[in-house]
Amino acid sequence: MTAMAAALACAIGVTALLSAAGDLLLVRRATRLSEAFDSFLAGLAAAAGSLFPLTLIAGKRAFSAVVGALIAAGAARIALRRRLGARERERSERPTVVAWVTVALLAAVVGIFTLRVMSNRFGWDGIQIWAAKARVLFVSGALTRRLWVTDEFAGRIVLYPPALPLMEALVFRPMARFHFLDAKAAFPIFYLALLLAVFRLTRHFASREASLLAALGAATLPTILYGGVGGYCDLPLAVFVAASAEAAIAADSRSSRTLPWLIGGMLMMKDEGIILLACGALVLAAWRRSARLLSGKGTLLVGAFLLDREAYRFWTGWHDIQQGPLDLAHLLAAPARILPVARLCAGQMLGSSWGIFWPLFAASAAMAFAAHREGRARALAVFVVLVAVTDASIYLVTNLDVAYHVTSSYSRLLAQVAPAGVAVIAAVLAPVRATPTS
Amino acid sequence: MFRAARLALGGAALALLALQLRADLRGARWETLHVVASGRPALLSAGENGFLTEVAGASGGHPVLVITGEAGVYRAGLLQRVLYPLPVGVFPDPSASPWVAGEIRRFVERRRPACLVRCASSAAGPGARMIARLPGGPTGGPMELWSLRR
Repeated sequence: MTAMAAALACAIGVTALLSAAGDLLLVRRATRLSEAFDSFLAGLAAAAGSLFPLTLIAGKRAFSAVVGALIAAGAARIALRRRLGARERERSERPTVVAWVTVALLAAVVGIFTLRVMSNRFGWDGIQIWAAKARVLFVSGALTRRLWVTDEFAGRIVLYPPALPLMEALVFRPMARFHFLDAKAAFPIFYLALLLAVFRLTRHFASREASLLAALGAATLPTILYGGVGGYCDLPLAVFVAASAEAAIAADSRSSRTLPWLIGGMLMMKDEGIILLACGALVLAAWRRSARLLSGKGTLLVGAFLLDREAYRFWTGWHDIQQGPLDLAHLLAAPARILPVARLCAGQMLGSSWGIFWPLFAASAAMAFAAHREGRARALAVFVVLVAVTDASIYLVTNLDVAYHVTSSYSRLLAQVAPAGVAVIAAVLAPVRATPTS
Repeated sequence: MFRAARLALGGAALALLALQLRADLRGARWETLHVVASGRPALLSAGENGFLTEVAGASGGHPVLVITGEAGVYRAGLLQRVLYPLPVGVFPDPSASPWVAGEIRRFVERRRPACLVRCASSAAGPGARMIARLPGGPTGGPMELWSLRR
């Protein structure tokens, strides 16, 4: 337990450094916990995005260069604390008994999650992909084209983006050793970040109490819990999705600076980041035809993250053997798979790991449209549906056994957008519409 | 009508939340007891650790081809690639998907394995000779060692 406690302490320290880097990037001083976590996400996106260019420039010193930059960012953040502008604290209303009780329950589930992370083994992808990549990064000091001594199955894993392995490797830097057992120490940080992101997202539609309950609902979703405990990447990605959705919905000066980094973080976290970006862009294009959410600089930044991702994939020389390519053979085989895939995916959505969550979401989304609820909740509902359908369409061109592929992964893909789905449910059920202040 | 539907949905949402919370708290209680009683779990089970040690011992250090179930591929693959860099090629049954057969062929041509370890219900192929039965595969199932040297 002592080793894991030390790793947890290191994870908190790394989070603080990444948050300091994020503050510098966003040119502000985070004074609230939620702002500090936004800065953390921006800092992590930037650090992960810089890893591939640094690998090309500095070779085996790339990881050390990231560590050095983060330490320098921490020092600069302290030196510049007076120059960086801080948002004035708004007065918040007095918390009710329901709010206090829900906060206590939230604290309990965070504690329980931490205990579970410490006391449970990895899930397979958690160690086979993410922690193993973190170890390779820690040992070799840079991104590599090869991961193991043999290469028969490792190619697909090489392609996966570096944000989570970087976070896991950073935790061990102060300890100067890498230990698989403690590599999940960063997950309680992501879990807490998810609660805050869901709370802030829901706060756009609902009262504080309803938003706290929504955070509790998202936190206790079994697939979120067990995926996180197993060291899977879907929990950190869900954090970026919920935070991006919040920034897109807020559409103010704060969010327009944060959003490009959050989108970059999605791209640096997992392959599905590109699906999430495409679906989000489609929904935003339809919903806010006239408004521009991203400035010119922001659009360039997202473009840079995309370029970084594609250049890295090209550099590795690998391609994903699990699905595609989109050649004639795959396209001809796809129509016959539509019904089986739809049936299997529906089975996953209605399975015991979700309970009645997805029917509840579907009913809420339908009510949001039927009752002409505000456009933001409807846009969020469409985004969740679009991602769920696009994710399912991957199985039409899978090279694996369809049933195996769907049952082993679809539920985890849904976990990436389920917290945003919780916000849709709260938007329909919450009786009070309030401004997100606290 | 809308109000009634919202009330029904709200009730369902709160019921779901209560069930999730109950499951979370109940699971945590058992896990706390487990951690207090037995300490942290090992990264790999004794069976997983023993698997490649046995395979390595039986092969005498020569390359080994392991054909196993999907779970076995993950477990044995992890052990082989991350923890014990042995000359072992671990693959699912070639009938599982089209690219596996090609990958196996490439491994055989490149590494010329001396033995085949057959786990789960995979096929050894014609001409292979079973030389040993081993106590447990990567996921604890039956495992047989087949010679590929004709």
